Amino acid sequence: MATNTNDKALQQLLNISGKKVDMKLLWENASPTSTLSTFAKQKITLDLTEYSAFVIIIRHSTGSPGQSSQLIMDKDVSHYVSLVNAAGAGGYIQNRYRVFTCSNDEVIAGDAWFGRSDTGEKIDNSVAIPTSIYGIKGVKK
Amino acid sequence: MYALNLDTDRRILSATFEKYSTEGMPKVEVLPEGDVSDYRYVNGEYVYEPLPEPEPEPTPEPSGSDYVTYDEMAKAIREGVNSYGQ
Repeated sequence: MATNTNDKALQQLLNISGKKVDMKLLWENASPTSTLSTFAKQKITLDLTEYSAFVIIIRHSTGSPGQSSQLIMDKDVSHYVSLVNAAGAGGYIQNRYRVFTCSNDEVIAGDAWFGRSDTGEKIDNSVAIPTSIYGIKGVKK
Repeated sequence: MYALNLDTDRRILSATFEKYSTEGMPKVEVLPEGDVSDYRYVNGEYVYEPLPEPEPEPTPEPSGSDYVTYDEMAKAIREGVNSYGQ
């Protein structure tokens, strides 16, 4: 189904239910995308009291422009994004992951880990880098 | 304009745009060249001070004991075949 169709379907459902969901861009990584900087563990201070769910866009690594994934998460629960690739010629599987937690006043990003099935894993903050954070209002549990 | 997220030693952890800044974040006109986390922001200036590269972990060389001889392998296969169905 095309994205436009998905959007229309979602909006129609929201109209039927009488609910309104707002999504707002709350933070962007200002490091240029062509030379994205490494991202050590840190706290990003933001007022998140109005938001109940979040979308974090995550670039796979500093050296992979255009390759991003997204993490959809709720508040006060740690979520981790795990970016798994199978390296064909190398014969190993590699995984990049990082844990995020959103509370009322901050987003906590842990260190990123890079693991390979043949050599193990280690902290590598040049992978799983957040490039933007969106807040979502109107989500009911 | 940009806003810097600094560590306790004033190393730049990340940079965002001014509109997303919060109280206490230093505002700057330009970001340093390259990886921002290679710099500390001290007295309104960038100090280039990259973190040391982590030591590369040595790849363990396979020792002789990791391999079995041809005879050992043949014996293991024979035992496997002979035990089939038992």
